[in-house]
Amino acid sequence: MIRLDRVTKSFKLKGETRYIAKDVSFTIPRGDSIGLLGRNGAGKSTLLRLIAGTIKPTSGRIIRRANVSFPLGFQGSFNGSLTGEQNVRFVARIYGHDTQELVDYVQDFAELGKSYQMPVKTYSSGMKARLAFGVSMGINFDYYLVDEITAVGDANFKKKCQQVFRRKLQQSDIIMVSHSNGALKEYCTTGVVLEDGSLTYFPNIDDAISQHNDNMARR
Amino acid sequence: MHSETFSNALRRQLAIAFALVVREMTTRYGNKFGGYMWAVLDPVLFIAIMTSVFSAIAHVPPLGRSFTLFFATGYAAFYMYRSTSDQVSSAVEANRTLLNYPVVRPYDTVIGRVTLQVATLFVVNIILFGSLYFLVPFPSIDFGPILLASLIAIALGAGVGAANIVWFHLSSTYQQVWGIINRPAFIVSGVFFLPESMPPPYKELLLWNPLVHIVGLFRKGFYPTYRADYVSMPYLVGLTIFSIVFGLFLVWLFDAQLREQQK
Repeated sequence: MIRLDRVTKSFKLKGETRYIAKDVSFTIPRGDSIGLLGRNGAGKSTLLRLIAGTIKPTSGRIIRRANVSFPLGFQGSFNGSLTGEQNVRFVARIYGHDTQELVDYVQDFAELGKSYQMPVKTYSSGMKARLAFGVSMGINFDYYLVDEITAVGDANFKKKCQQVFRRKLQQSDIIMVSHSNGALKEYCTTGVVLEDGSLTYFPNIDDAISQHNDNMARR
Repeated sequence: MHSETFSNALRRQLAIAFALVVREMTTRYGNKFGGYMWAVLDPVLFIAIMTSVFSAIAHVPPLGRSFTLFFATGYAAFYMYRSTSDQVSSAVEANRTLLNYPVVRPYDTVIGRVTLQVATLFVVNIILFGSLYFLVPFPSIDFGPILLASLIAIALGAGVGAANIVWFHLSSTYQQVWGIINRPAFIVSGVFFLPESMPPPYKELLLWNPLVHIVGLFRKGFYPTYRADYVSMPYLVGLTIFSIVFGLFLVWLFDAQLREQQK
């Protein structure tokens, strides 16, 4: 369960205070996968980072009674001079995961071959993405945070990713930012629409999507 | 995560610090061993330059007969403080991308850097004084004051560095000013003279600088007859404990701000 308790997040832009969320309270129960909708710049990604805990609310608090992931496929922390395997070891250590198990899992999953023992700076962007997705799949989280699901690799690899991800979602839930109605309908059951600092919760993702479409048509 | 017991949380914290240490060990100076050489070369070059300059203009060092040993003992103590404070003050910026992992907190990067610093300085000092021993054998060595001075130098450096993480984050002007003011710090830290030799008003002023005390204490271990009466343990220990508690408190307090990009 993740609960936002009177959360406000604002930042100053050219002396003007802008609100991402203003005194927002709601609970995301376990078992619900939730989609975050809103126009560009509404603060969807910021809300996702608030939920992850990598940034803090200006006021209020966020209670996590669950194991929340880092953004799915996050690769910004990979150090170029370390090998793929060394980078995987690091993530395993900080999450208290069995190091060898995760190393083996990602080796098998990412299909990097010999490159797995080469510095990440020699990787193509596709290889990096495969490594990152492998790490995300190798650790079990209660909630997966997804900021725009992006397809990784060739057709075969995409298919494998979808299969593994689907299997994951039998035990895990997902909190997803997306502009794709297809992806939202496919993965999410409930939705939240962000508009001008206020959040509206919809128990049904279809209602959230139509509300979002109305908002977009209005302005 | 909130239902975690204290011992579980502690174990997790140690695992994160350990992971950061391993990561930094392999990446700190690039992936080459040559990078680590600089941690040793910095003090070695300084001592070599000071020795050649001062043996040209003076006949005997203020203590003992070897300029090399006199500068080595002075600079080694100073270097432990200086390098720790530099390393710690950049801990959060250097590991910024890792803060995208919610489990990693700014605090952890400080713990990681201090741990690595202790290990690095241990090796540096063994190499430095080990090879020095063959060059200018010192008659005796008392590990008590040496270890105590080292501990205080590193702890003080860690405290100052931790506080500077926050101050640097809040003001880049302050960061510049700090850098300029501290560049000649070794001149007023008793690295190449003894505070006893200073005339009255300057001696008292110098003794406000904790590094003068640290250098004096460190030298006591190498020069058995050197008394270093001016070293005030209450001042040194009090200031060090204050700085480390204050520094870590600041990092903890500014956790949210440190997670956001620098302005």
